[in-house]
Amino acid sequence: MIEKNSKFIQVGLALAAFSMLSGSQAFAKRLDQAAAAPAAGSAKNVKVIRMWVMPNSPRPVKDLEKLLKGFEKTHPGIKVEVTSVDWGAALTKLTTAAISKQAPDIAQLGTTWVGVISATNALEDLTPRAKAMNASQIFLPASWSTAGLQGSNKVTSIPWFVDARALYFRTDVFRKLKLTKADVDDWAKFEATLKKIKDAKLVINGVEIEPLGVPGKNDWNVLHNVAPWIWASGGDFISPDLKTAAFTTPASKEGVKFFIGLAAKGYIPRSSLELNTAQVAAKFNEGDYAMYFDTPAQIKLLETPYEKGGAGGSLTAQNYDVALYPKGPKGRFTFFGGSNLAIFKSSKNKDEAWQVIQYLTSKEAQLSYAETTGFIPARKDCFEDPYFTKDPKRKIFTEAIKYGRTYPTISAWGPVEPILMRHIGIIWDNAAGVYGKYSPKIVDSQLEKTRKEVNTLLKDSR
Amino acid sequence: MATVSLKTRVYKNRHAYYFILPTLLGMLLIHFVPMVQAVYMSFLGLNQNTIGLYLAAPFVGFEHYKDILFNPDSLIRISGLSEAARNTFIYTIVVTFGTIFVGLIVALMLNRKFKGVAVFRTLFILSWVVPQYVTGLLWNFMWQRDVGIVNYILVNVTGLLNEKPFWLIGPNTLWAIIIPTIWRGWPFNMIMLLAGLQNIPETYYDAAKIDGASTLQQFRYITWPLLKPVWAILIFFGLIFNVYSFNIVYMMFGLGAGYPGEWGDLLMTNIFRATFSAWRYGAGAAACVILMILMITIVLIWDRIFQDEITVQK
Amino acid sequence: MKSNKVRKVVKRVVIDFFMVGALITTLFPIFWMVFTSLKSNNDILVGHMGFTRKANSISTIVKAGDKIHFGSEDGFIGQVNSDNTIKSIFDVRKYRGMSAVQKDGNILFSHSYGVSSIDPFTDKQKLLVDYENVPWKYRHNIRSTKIVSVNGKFYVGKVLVKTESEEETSYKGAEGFEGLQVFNESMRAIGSLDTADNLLSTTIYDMQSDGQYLWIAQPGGVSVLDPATDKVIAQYTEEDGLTVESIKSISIVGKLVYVAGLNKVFKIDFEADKVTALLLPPVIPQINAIVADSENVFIGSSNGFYVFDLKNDQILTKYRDQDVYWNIRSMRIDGNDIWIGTDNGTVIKLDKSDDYQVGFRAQIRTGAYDIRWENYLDMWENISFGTYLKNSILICSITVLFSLALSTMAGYALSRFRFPGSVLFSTSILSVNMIPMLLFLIPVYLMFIKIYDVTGIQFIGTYAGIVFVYSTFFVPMSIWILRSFFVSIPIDIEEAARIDGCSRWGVFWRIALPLAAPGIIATGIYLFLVAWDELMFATILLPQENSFTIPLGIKLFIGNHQNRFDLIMAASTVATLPVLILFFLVQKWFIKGLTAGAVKG
Repeated sequence: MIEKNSKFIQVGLALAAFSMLSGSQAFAKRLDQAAAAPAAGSAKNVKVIRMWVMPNSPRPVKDLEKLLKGFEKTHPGIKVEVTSVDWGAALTKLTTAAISKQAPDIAQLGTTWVGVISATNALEDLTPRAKAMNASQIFLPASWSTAGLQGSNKVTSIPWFVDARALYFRTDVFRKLKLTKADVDDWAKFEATLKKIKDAKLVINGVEIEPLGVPGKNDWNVLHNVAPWIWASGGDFISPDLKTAAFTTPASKEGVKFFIGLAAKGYIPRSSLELNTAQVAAKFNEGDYAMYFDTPAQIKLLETPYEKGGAGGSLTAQNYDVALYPKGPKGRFTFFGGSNLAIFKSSKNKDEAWQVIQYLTSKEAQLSYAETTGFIPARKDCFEDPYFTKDPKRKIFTEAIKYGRTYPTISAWGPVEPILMRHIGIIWDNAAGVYGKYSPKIVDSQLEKTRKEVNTLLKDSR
Repeated sequence: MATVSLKTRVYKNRHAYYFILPTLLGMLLIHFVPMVQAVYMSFLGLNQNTIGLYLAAPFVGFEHYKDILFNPDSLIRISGLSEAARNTFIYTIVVTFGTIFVGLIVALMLNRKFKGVAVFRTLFILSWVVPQYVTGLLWNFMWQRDVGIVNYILVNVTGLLNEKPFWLIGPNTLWAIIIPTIWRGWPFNMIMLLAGLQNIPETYYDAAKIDGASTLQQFRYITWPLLKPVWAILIFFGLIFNVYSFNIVYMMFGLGAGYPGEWGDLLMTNIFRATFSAWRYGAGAAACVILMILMITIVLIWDRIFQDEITVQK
Repeated sequence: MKSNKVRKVVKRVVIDFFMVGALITTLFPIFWMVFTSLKSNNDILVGHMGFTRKANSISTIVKAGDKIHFGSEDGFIGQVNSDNTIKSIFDVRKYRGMSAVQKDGNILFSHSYGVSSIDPFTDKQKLLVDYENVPWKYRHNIRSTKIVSVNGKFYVGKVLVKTESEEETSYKGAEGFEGLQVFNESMRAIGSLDTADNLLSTTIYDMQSDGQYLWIAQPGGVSVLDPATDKVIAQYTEEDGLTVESIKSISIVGKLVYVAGLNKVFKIDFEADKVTALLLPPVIPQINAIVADSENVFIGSSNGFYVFDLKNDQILTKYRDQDVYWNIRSMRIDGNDIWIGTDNGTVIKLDKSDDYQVGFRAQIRTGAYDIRWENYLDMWENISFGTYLKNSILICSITVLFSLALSTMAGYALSRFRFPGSVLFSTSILSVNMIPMLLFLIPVYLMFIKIYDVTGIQFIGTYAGIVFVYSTFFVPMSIWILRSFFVSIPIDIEEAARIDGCSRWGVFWRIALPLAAPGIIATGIYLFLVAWDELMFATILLPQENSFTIPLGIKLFIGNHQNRFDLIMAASTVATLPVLILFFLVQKWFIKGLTAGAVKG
C-alpha cells in the first residue's frame, strides 16, 4: 500500500521539484510568452495598442475587433488588442491601472468616471490634439462637456458614444386602453396612464400586464434612474458652486418622492425592485410590463433574433414604441451617459493610440459601432444619417439627447456616487415594503443623511 | 538543553532552515513587505487625488483609525461600515456554528455501519467542491423572488408560506448569504468530525451502555468532549474564513453593481467598495488593520480557551 | 426484547429518512444548476420551473381531395374533417419542417428526413425520398422545407440554419443536398440547383408555381425558374425595387405575383417586368405569409391578420386589431375560406363572406421540449471561455505543485526540528491567516510594477505573477495542515533510517513523504479548490483578457446590457466540472488524508 502511494508521490514531487529547479526566471519567461506575448509586441514593426472596453454589446471583443479591422487595414503598423472588462470590476481595474505605469494605451471611461480618473493625473492631456480635430464643434455639446475635469479646461478624454434614456412602451396595451404617446407627456398624465393600465388588469398572451418596470437597488443604474425625476422637479444633486449637496431642497425631494411613490402606489410591481436593468428589460420583452425606461441599446436587442439571445420576433418586439421622459414641473430631462476614450500617460504609443481614437470617432466607425451596439454616436453629423432619420424609434433618442443632462465631472463625484446609491437603495427597499409600510418620511430622512454625508465628503476633498 | 549555545542549536538544526528557506523568502516578499507598506498606507491620506503619489501621500497619523472607531459621520463610516460589521458578526457566528452543527449531525448519521456508507460520504462532500463564485451566482438565481426555485418550493410546492418573500432585499438578505455559505461549507466540517468520531474507541460506548446511559447521555459525556479538539479547530477555521468572506456576496449582488443592502453587506465587500469605488485607500487600509488586530485578539482568546486540547506548537 | 428490536428498526428508518433527505437537500442546488443550464433564458426569466415545450408552428396548409391538411414544424400532419374536428394522420416528432403538395390524391410531405407520401384516406405512408445518406448535421439543421410541383417535376427547397455562425446564413450542404433539389414524377432525384446555377442563395423560404414557371422566394429577392430547362430566367432583387433583405412569401393570382418580406408587400407584373410596392402602414411587423385573390391581399404577419384592399390601395383597418395575437406562419385561400396557421400551432378558418369571422379554430399538440444543449456552445462562443478554462487549470495546477513543494518541506521541518526561531516561524504562519487579503492588493500590485521596472520580469498579467502570489498565499495554511500529518507519522522509522546512514534529505524524500502521501493529496485538493476560487487578486493582477481566469470571465455574462442566466449556469457547470473530476479521482486519498492526520494535531 505504502509502496503504491510512494511511487505516485515521488512522481508528483519530482515534477514539483523539477518545475522549481528549472529556474524560476526561465520558467517565468516561458510562461510570459504563453500568457502575454501579444502585449509585448509579437512582431518587430507592429505596434500593439492595448485597449480596454466594457461589454458594450453581447460579444464585446469580437464586435469591436470587427470594427477595427477597417483601421488595421489602412494602418498596417498598428494592431489593437481589445480586452473586455466588466462594469463591476472596471473601476477597480482602471484605478489600479491609473496608479501604475502598466495601464492600457486606451481605455473606455464611463462619462461619470472621467472626473475622478482625470484627478489621478494618469490621463494624457489631449487638449492640443482635440483642438486640431476641432473636437468641440464635432461632438454633441452635452457629451463634450464630459471630456475633462470640470473647471480644469483640460481635455482628457474624447467622447465615443452616448447613451440617453427614454420610455419604452407597449403599443398594443396603449391601443387597447386608447392611450397615445401624448398620455405620457408629463408627470400628471404619466401617473394617470399608469393608473389606467393598473386598473385595466389586462392579460395579453396569458401574461398580466404591470404598468411600469423599474429596477431597485441591485443595479448599476440606481442613480441614473432617479436623476431625471430630480432634475425635472427642479432639483439637483450638487449646488451650482459644487460645494454643497442639494438633495434636500423641496424640489429634489418632490422628484424622488414622485418616482419612488409610483412603487408605493403599486404602479411599479414590487417584484421588479430586486431586479437589475437587464432583467427588467428581459421581463419587458417577455410582456410583463407596459412601460420601462432604457437606453437605445434595447432597440437593438428587440431586433436581434431569439436564437441569438435577443428578443426579436417576440410580441413585445412587434408592439413597442419609444417616448421621451415625462415632463416634470421644471422641464424634461433624461440622464445622459455614455463613454469616452482616454489615453493613459504611461502609454508608449500615444500617437498610434490617438490614431485609433480618431478612427473610432470618425463618422463611419461611429455609425457602424452604433449599429452593432445600439448606442448613439457622440458625433453630431451622424444624426443626419438615414439610420437615425428614417427610424422613428431611434429618432426619439436623438431628440432625447436634447434633454440630456449629466452629473458634474468633478473629482469628488466618484466617492459621491456610492453614497447616493446606498441611500437611494435603502429608499427602494422601503418602497418594496420589506421594512413594513412605506412612508414618504423615509425619503426625507434618508436624503437628509445623504446630504450630510455628501457635504462631509465635498468639504474633505476641497 | 538550555546550556547549549544558540550557535550549536542553529548548526544542529541547519537542515530545518534549508527546509523552510523557500517559504521564508516567499513570505517575506509577498506577506511581510506589502504588509508593512499597507500598514504605512493606513496612516496616509490616500484618495483619488493623491494615489499617484502612493507612499509619498500626506501623512495623517491616526486620523483614519479615529474616524473608523469614533466618528460615525466620517467618510469611511458612512458607507455602511457599522451595518457591515454587524452583519459580519452575525454571519460569522451563525455560519461557523451552523456548519459545525450540520456537519456533526450528518457525521453522526454516517458514523454507522450500513451498506453504501462510502457512496453517501462522497456525495455529501459534493457541495464543498462547488466553487464559491459559482455558489454566489447559483444562489442569487435561486433566491429570486418571482422566478427563484426557493420561493417556488416554499409557496407553490409545499405551501409553507402564503406570499413569496423577498430574499435579496431587506433583512432576509442576511439569510440569503448565510444559507449558501453553510451549504458550501459544512461538508468539510463533516469530514473532520467524522474522522474524530471514528477515532473514539468503541469500548467507551460499550462501557456506557453497560452503565445504562441513554444515547443522548452517551453523546453528552463521551462524544462531545472527545471531539473537542476537532470542533475547536473548526471554530478557529470558521472564524477566520467567515470574517474574511468575500466571493459569495460579491458575486451574488449584481457583481459589485451596487450596494448589497443594509443586511447583505459584509466587512470585506464594504471595505473593498470603500477602497476601489469610493477611492478611500488609506482609510480602507486602516479598516483592514483594525480588523486584523481584532482577529488576532479573537484568536488569542480562542487559544487561551482551547490551549489544553490544541497543541499549537509553541 | 421484541419491542426493543422494533424500536431499533424504527430508529434506523427514521435516521435513514433524514439522511436521504439531507442528501437530497445538499445535492439539489447542484442539480438545479445543471438543469437550469439547459433551459432557455426566457424560460428562466419568466419563471418556468421545468422545461417548456416549444411552439409547434403550422408550416403548411394544403388541400387534398376536398379536405384541408396541414403540417407542422414538429412532425404533425392533421386533417380537418367536415365536422370540424382534427384527425391526426401522421405524428412523428423527429420529422421537422413539414411542407406538402398533393399528387394523385396522395399528399407528398417534405420534411427533415426526406419526402413521404401519405394517402389521406387509408393513412398509408411511405418514405419516398430518404435523406439517410446526407450527413446528420445538415439534416439536423433543417428549419423548414418547401415542396412544389411544376410540370410533373417536384422541387424541394430548404432553410438550413447554421446556429453557430454570426448570421443566419444558408450554406452549401453535402453533395446532392444543395438548395433546391429536383425530383421526377416517381420521386427520383434528377438534379439540384444552388448559387452556381444563379440562385440568389441556397436558402429557400417559399416557392409557388404560376403554371409555367417556378417562383422562388429567397434571401436577396425572387428567382424565376423555368422548369423545362431548370435555368433561372429572371430575378428580382433590391435593384428592381424589392427593398427588403429577404422575401418570405409568394402568392400568385393570374398574371400577377405578390411577394412579401419583413414589412413590405410588392406586386410583380412579370409580363410588364414592373415591380410596385403596396402602400402598407408602418405598423405591420414581420410578414410571414401572404395570399391574394383578385380584390385583396391577405397578409399574415407576426402581429396578426391584415386585409389589403387592392382597389382602394389601403389596409382595411377594421380587421387590424385582433384580440388574439396571431403570429401567422402560413396561409391558404380556398374559395371563401382563408385558412391560417399560427406559430403556436393554431389552425384558424376565416370566412370571407362573413366579414372574416372565425369559422373554425383548433389547436394542435405542442412541440418538443425546449432543451438547450446549445447553451454550452453559445457560452464558448460568446466569451473566450476556453482561454479562461485553460488559464484556470494551468494556474491552479502550477500553484498546487509549488505550494505543496514549499509547504511539505516547511511542514516537515516544523514537525521534526525544534530550531531557534521555530516558534516565531510557526506563530507567523498562523497569524498571516489573520491578515485580510484586501490589505495586500495595492502593495503587491505596485511591488510587481517596481520589479518590472528594475528587472524587466513581468509579473502582471502573467502566469508567473499570479502563481507566485497564490502559492505564497496558500502556503501558510497548507504548512499548518501538513505539519500535523508529519507529527502523526511515528518518528522511529526515520530514526532507524538515519542509523542506516540515510541523509536528512533522504529521510524526508524516501520515508516521510510517502507516509504522508494521503495528507499531501488532501492538502493539494484543498489548495486547488482555494486557488480555483480566488477572485480578488485575479481581478487586479490579470488585466488582459487572454490571462483571465474563470471567475473573471464568467462575470462578462452579466452586464448592463445582458443577463444571460442560462449561459451563466452553463459556465458555472463547466467551472465546477474540473474540480469535481479531480475530487472523484482522488477522493479516496482525500478522505483518508483528512481523517488520518489533521484531527490528531
